[in-house]
Order: sequence, then C-alpha cells, then structure tokens
Amino acid sequence: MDFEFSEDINKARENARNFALSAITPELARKYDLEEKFPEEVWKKAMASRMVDFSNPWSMLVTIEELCRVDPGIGIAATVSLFGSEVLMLFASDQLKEKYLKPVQEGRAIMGLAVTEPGGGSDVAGLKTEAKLEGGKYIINGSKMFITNGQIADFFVMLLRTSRPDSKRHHGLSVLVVDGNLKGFSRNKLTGKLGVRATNTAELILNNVEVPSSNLVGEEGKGFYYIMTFFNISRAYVAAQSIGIAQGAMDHVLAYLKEMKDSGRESEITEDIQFTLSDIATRIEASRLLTYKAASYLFNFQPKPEITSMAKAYASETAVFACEKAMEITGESGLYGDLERFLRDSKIMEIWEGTSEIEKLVIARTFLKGGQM
Amino acid sequence: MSENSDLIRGAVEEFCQKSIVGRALEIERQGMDDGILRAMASQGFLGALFDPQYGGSGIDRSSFFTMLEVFASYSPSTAAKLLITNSIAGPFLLNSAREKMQEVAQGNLKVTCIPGSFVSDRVPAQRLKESGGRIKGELKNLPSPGSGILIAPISEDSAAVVFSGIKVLEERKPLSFRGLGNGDVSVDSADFTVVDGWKGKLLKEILSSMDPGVSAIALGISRGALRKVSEYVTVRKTFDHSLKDYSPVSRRISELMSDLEIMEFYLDNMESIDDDKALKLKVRSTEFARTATKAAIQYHGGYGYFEDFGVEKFYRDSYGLSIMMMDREYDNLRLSEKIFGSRSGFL
Ligand SMILES: Cc1cc2nc3c(=O)[nH]c(=O)nc-3n(C[C@H](O)[C@H](O)[C@H](O)COP(=O)(O)OP(=O)(O)OC[C@H]3O[C@@H](n4cnc5c(N)ncnc54)[C@H](O)[C@@H]3O)c2cc1C
Repeated sequence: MDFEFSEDINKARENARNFALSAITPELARKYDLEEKFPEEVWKKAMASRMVDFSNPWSMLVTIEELCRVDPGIGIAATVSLFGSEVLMLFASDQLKEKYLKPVQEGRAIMGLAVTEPGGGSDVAGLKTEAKLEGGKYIINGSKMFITNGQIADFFVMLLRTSRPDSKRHHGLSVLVVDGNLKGFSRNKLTGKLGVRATNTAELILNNVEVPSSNLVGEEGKGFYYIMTFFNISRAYVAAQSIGIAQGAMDHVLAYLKEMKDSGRESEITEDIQFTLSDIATRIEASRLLTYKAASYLFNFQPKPEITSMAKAYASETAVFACEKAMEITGESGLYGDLERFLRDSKIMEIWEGTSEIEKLVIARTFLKGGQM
Repeated sequence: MSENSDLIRGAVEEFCQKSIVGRALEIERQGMDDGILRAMASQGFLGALFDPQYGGSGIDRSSFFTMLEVFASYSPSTAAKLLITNSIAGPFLLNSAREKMQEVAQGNLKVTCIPGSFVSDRVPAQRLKESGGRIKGELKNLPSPGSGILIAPISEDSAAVVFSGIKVLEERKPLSFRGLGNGDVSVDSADFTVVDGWKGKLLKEILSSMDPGVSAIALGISRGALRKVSEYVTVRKTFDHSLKDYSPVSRRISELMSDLEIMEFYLDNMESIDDDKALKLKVRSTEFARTATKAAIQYHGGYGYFEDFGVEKFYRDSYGLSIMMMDREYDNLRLSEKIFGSRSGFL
C-alpha cells in the first residue's frame, strides 16, 4: 500500500495552491460573497490555466481541495462549470459530446445538472417534471429547484420522467440535454444563500419546452441509473470540497495561534485548544484517507458506492466540525474575519448531492443486502 | 414561572406576531429601523428593566428573561438589542446619565457597546483613550454603530459613556445579529462621563442579568429553530412519507425539544436560582443552540440554506451569541472556581 501521490498529482496540487493564493484574494472572496455573484474572471482564469480537467480525475480531486481551502465559494464556482459533464462523458452519443461537452471542457460554455425539484431532492425517483415524446421532440413541463449555474448555464443535463413508473419508482426516468435559451424555459435566480454565495443558483421553470429527441442521453428509461452513477463520482468531489474547507479552517486556526504565540500569549494556547486542533487534524486526515480510497475504486472503474458515501458523509461533517471548532478557538477574530465565511459555506456540504442522511441510508443498505467490508 | 412572566409571554407573543414575524426577514436584510425600535419602546420592552422613574417599565427579572426568549424565537437581533440596552447600558446609564434613560427607553436615543468588553474582568481587547478632557479613538466591529450613546472601556477598570462625536467609518454585514448592523467607529468627544471601578459592583450586576439573559436568547433561538423544523418535517414528504415518520428525524427533534424544555424550565425558575446555576445554564444553553439550529437547517434540506425560510439566521446568531455576548474563557474560570473552589484549568 502506497500512501503517496505520484509526482504529477503533487504538481497539480501545487499548481492549484499557487493559483488559488494568487487569483483568489481575500478581498475578492469577500466581494463575491457579499454581492452573491458568479466570479466570471476567476472562472475564466482557471479554465485558461487548464487545471480544470475532469478527464484527469486525480488532479481534479486535489485541485478542488486546494481551491476550496483558500475560498470555498470561489473555489467551487471556478470548477463547477462542468457540473454533470461525467453524464455526457460516460453515456452521451459522440454528436452530443461534440456539441455540448467540448465547449464546456474548453471553457467556452457553462453547464448545469438539474435533478432536484421543489417537491424533493433526496427522493430522486419521485420527480415529476415530464418529457413527452411527440413527433420527434420531447415536450417538457415542470420545474427544477436549487440548480447550480441555473441562471448562467448554456445548457442542462436534466433528469425527467419520460414514462409512468411500473412497479419500480425509478423506472421511466431519462436524461435529456436541454438548452437554456429555449422558448418556454425561464430561470429565476435564487438569492439569500447562507454560503457558497459565489456560486449561482436558480429555479428552472419549463413550460412546453421542446427538445429534439436526439438530445436524449443514452437510452430512454435509464436516467436514474445514469444519474446515480454520476452522483457516485461527484460525491467524491464534494468530499474533496469538504476536505478543502476543513483544511482552510485549520489554516485559519494555525494562523491565529501563531499570532498568539508571536505576541507573547503562548501560555493561552491551552491543552483544551491543542486537543481541539488535534481533533480537527485527525478528522481531516481520516477524511482524506476515505476519500482517496473511494476515488481509487472509482477512477479504476470499480466503484464502491458505500465507500463513496462514507467519504462524502464523513468529509462533509468534518468540514462543518472543523469550521465550528475553528470559530470557537478564534472567537471574535473568526467571527469578524474570513473564517465565518467558511462556516457558512461548509453547511451546504452536508446537504447537496445527497444529504448526510441519504448517504447513511446508502451505506446501511449495502451491508443489509449482504455487502462486506 | 411567575404570573407576571405568563402575562408578559402573552403580551410579547402578541406583539411579535403583529410587529416582528412579518418583518423578520427585512430586519435581517436591512437592519432594525427606528419604527421597530419605537414600536418595542411603546410597549415598554426597550426599557423593560429600567426603573419607572427613569422612563422604564421596571418589570421583574423573570419576566425580562421570558420576554427575551420570545423575541429571540422570532428575531434574535431584536432580543440582542433588548439585552444590550437593559443589561449593559441600563446599569451604566443609571450610574452616569439618568437623565438620558427616558429617551433611550422611548427609542429616541440609541445606545451601544461591544458587549464582550463588559462581561468579564479580563483586559478588554479594545478601548478608547481619555486625554485632555476628550475621549478619542476607534472601535472595530461595534454592533448598532449608528447609535447616539457609546459605552466603551478607557482603562482596565474605567469606562466612558460618550454622548456625541461618534462617527461611523465603515459598516459591514456580520455573521450574526444582522438586524443590529456592525461597523467601525471613530470617537472624538468632550461630551462624556467616566464610570470608574465598574469591574466591581457594576460587573456583578451586569452578569446577574447577562448570564440568564444570554441563556434566554440561546433558548429562544433554539425554540425558534425547532418550532420551524417541527412544522416543516410534518408537512414535507420524501419517498411518500412525512419526514417526521423517519426514526432518526423524529428521535433527534424529540430529543432536542426535550433538552430545550428542561432548560426552559430552569430558566422559568430563574428567580429562585442562584448566579452559579445561571452561569451553568448559559454555558449549556449556548452550546445547545448551536446544535439545535444546525439540525434545523439540515432537516429543511436545500430550503434551510436560504434566508427566506428563516432558519439559517438562528444558526448564524447562535455563534454570535456565544462569541459576542459572553467571554468563554472567563466563564470557564468562574465555573471552575465554583466546582473546584479555586480557578482551575489554566496553567
Ligand atoms: C446551494 C444549492 C445548490 C444546489 N445545486 C443543485 C444542482 O446543481 N442540481 C440539483 O439537482 N440539485 C441541487 N441542489 C439540491 C440538493 O441536492 C438538495 O437540496 C438535496 O438533495 C436535498 O433535497 P431537498 O432539499 O429536497 O431535501 P429533502 O429531500 O426534502 O430532505 C429534507 C431533509 O430530510 C432528510 N431526509 C429525507 N429523506 C430521509 C429519510 N428517508 N430518512 C431520514 N432523513 C431523510 C434529508 O436528509 C434532509 O435532511 C442544490 C441545493 C442547494 C441548497
């Protein structure tokens, strides 16, 4: 067992770290957080630097970590323009890949993944937005909720109900690529988020939106399977976002403690503080090990959903834990400094792409069905 | 609970339903305007603990804590305003500027301070300077920075109550108590009074109402968040079942509600509880508020992450409460003293 990354992955981490430190200044992070605006300039720079490359998943994993470590909101915004691209990579026709995937990979377009609806996000099979096939076109009616890049994306990979379910609720779902500028398609930006405010979030309303049947991804009726396959991959990236956030919170703590030391207050760094710091560090290390293990299965095309879910649930809870403890240690300095933004940002980790509760159900069900450790 | 507290609870509930609930989001976004402050004043809430001869309502302490809890359950910022005004500014004004108290109680004159500077005997992180008959300096991260009266430490054991010459330098959106606002001010004033030796009797008096007052807000914040989430999990369905029917959801919320009610019982009997117990309640209830509010966001799913749903503010404010309104290190010292007979846990 080798716990060291190869040279090129270490290099990718170093590049991402340097990029983040120079392109995401605290002032910029504060500005986009306050204005609740997508940081187009940083996204463009990140794409131009070629570090956002999901066809190289290990590099992507460590890149996401390092960007989120400096600022979670901008860090996510800079990499999320390809959110959902794996669905196209794995299941779309060559024509769809050429038309839709290529521009996002080249930083010329932004995409979104639209699954959640106002009536539910956890219960994916319960979604209600319909796509009816009529004369070579799908006619879509319904709405999608909380969609990242919702207002700015050029197109969406959308999970829709194309036929009534039979005895299994998740049957009858399909994935379509839906352009954002179609007639009957409106999007409302959702504002007032607790955190990750540099990411764009919107509600999508689809009223008799017509999409050519050639925009069907893979086979009709297999959408649930495609999206679950995608979540299994994207959850590893959320774990990486979470590790970055936790590491960033720890950086803030260490800077604060150094300041205490430098100003002759070393004796105030009590054992209580030291134990808390060691808890944060231990949980970050454990999150990394779990995430890299999950990623290793995934990137070798032998996914283990229960391990990915463990990594996502544990790392996201670690992000929140680290931020909360960091706030306790740093007090007013954290409350009025940049750390408070990390606290606000961290909470989404336990919610999106499968809440902690849903991850726990995935884990438990695997073992109840006879899965082995 | 005293009969008065019951009456107050009813009156404050009615007031909040009429004047706060519909405006709670606006308070978060734009801050408390003068209208809200005056409405609170007109009901006697703003000067609740002030003596009636100085324009206050002179309500009993127990009723005051009940009042804070109810306000906090709808808008923690309003409760924080009431706490700062009554529990810190009140005792200072009584010692230095009684003639201003009526105006403060009526909401015509606002008063502020950095609360953390007045809840411990430790050296305050920020202070102003007195020299040549003037008070000068800058303070960072002051809640309600646009106030007419400012109370600030000027030495280890004296504080100035400043009545003019307070200029707002920069305002920002804080994590917590957004309804109060937050900003940096510069001060240059000859119009002030000095209160010497406040760390004696005055600190004791402040703590005797801040300790339970902070607890009341912590429990109000928790009540507000748990009320919302209990309602939500009853109506929200996933996988064809109400959220409340899933065992982890139901159990967690029931446990949190039980803990809350045990602590509320303690708070309701605060008149007969000594200062030690008030301190213990504060330490427990502020930690509890952080746990309860986090669970409330979580069970709201994506909706919990948006301010429109009115839950995330409770989580944010639970942090401000335990950082701005108390000094954890000092409280730990006091606790250890009660338990070990001498200050312990600090080498
Ligand atoms: C900022 C933001 C960005 C987002 N971006 C996207 C996006 O780009 N695309 C997209 O499709 N979605 C997106 N989402 C949606 C997100 O994935 C959902 O919010 C999430 O999946 C939860 O769904 P929900 O909000 O409907 O909560 P619900 O499913 O209603 O769940 C509410 C609560 O109940 C719990 N719960 C549900 N079922 C059970 C059960 N059986 N047992 C125990 N507990 C249970 C959940 O864990 C949660 O705590 C985003 C959300 C946010 C806030």
